[in-house]
Amino acid sequence: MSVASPDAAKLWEQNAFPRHRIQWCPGCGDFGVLAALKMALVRIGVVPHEVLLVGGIGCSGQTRNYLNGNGFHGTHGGPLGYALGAKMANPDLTVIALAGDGDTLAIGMESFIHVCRRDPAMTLILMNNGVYGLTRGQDSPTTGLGKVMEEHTEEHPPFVDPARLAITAGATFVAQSFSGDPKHCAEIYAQAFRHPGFAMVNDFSPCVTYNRFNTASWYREHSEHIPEGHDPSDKAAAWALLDDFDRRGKLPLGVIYRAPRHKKAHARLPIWEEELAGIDPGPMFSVFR
Amino acid sequence: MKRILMKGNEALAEAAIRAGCRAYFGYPITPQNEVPEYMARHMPRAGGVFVQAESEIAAINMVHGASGAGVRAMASTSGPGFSLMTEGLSYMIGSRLPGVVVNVMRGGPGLGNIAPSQGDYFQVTRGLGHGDTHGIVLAPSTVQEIVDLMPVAFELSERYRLPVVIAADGILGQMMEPVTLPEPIAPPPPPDWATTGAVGSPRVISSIYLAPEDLERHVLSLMRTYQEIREREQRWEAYRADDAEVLVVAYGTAARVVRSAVDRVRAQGLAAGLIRPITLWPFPTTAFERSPRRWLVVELSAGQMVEDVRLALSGRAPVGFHGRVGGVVPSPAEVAEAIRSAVVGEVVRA
Ligand SMILES: Cc1ncc(C[n+]2csc(CCOP(=O)(O)OP(=O)(O)O)c2C)c(N)n1
Ligand code: SF4
Ligand SMILES: [Mg+2]
Repeated sequence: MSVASPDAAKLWEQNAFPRHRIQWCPGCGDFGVLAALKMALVRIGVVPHEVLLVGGIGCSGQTRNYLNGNGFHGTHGGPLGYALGAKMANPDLTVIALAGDGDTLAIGMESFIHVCRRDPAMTLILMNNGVYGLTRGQDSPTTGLGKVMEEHTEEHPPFVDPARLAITAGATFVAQSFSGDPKHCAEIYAQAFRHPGFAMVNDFSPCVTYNRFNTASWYREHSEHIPEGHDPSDKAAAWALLDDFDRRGKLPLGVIYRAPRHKKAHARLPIWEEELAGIDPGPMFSVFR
Repeated sequence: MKRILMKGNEALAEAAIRAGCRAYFGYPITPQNEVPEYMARHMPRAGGVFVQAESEIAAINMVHGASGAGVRAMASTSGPGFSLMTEGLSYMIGSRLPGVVVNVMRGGPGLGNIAPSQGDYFQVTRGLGHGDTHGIVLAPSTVQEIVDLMPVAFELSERYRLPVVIAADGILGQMMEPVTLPEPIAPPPPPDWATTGAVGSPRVISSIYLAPEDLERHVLSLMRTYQEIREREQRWEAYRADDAEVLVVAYGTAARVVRSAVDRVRAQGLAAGLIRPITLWPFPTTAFERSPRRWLVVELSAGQMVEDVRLALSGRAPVGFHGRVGGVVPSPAEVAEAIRSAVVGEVVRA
């Protein structure tokens, strides 16, 4: 990673793809995510060619079109798979997946669980609006956030909580943010990018067009910053915090869980020229002689 | 009979309910979202079930399960989702189960776009998942025809115990046209193989045949069914074809453009006609027994059905091709020009 330079800010301000006119509805929460991303990328001092942004398919994934940096658009539900593949092939890249709640928790659920347990050093910013925005307003797996259990039916089952799920599945960094507060988001994102394992940020990013329940003011009313004294490295404390916030009908904002690392550094075959330069291939061929 | 104005996607949903469909499973994808939206609202009223699945893979598996339980079941989707459903379709074919899947085709490959296309032709006619698979593929070209083919789809699917695919496209799904809806029918009782809690012999839905001889017997029986379908179920429409010296082959939305183009060139003295396949599989080879001077195939894809036309004609006459891709729909004037040039020489534009 390069050091922060005044130029980095300029590079991230430019839109690499000016052909992409911003298509979000005015007031969409995703504007906040975009602003926060720019701040966080500048803060960690990376320049666009060091970053790979993997966009999901949804309004959320379009974030990738409005930012400089290497980009990737694949299938709906696939971003974490692409991100993992890219990170393994090129570990020097800062890999960031930007995907919606439908993308990540419905069609992409199996990747979500397994990326959490593989714990690669990359980040998912889950742009959670509780709805399928791009396809115009269908229920998503996080629809119903804030509604009481009794209101759920077989057709409208209870919502999925990505934070609890990520911890259960083995993610080593789990945080939440609200895109209506981009400064706080940027702080959380920067920590996520620096985390040496899989970082999941559940970002509440309201859809002003199709989710009339979880609005920006609803989130403001129903969220709270995690108290200073919380020790995110303590898993039991993380669960207790989630339970406590649940009981009070609030969403915790901040870092909920950050595992102390205990994994072995990952090994891979040398694939780059410089790495191969240091290797004597002779013995590999001896068996053929 | 009352004629009402309906969007293609909504008309197809209503027609399915009227045809006795009582289980719908889907996942949002443009340009077919009005189907699940309509089903969510109206299926429960008919006493049926609706689930917005977590993916198209899950949706087709739910169809598989519901159909195995003896209920008329369906799913609808578009290109990227259809690709995911092909796994389930192969298993349904292997398990000899009925079911209807609508593919409202959009531009591909990959995410492509949400504009109308016929680019999934090979996939629906050859690629219903792995193994020796086929299913009847119906290709309507008007909203009324979608409505008329819906009960046919369920009946054929049950007669041959194979899934039926309805291949529509973004224009047909989105356009509004006047339709006459049929009277609703009561769903048929569960067939004698369904997992309804059989008394006596247990019923099993499965596509696994571990012994090569057993699987061969199973696939040969499938192939006999395919042959029977080829012999009995070819459907097509001929328009001004009898005296035509150039015959144009097109289906779905493309056929509507061709029909206008045929009228245009006829008015200028060129005897053109249209063969419109309604079954894409089995391909209506019987329609190709006559040989005019020239053939031209028009598709909203890069030259897929043209291969079936060439096979059907076995080199008896030259076959030209005019295709537009990416969601671009040619105008009648453009197609008329293609017909005129076809008589002069072959034009390939893709
Ligand atoms: C296989 C497949 N199925 C369905 C779609 C259609 N589709 C595109 S985006 C989307 C959902 C978007 O919801 P979400 O992931 O929550 O993102 P948002 O738009 O809300 O940001 C769907 C279902 C698709 N592109 N591919
Ligand atoms: S539909 Fe919702 S999520 Fe999509 S751009 Fe509009 S406000 Fe944002
Ligand atoms: Mg969403």
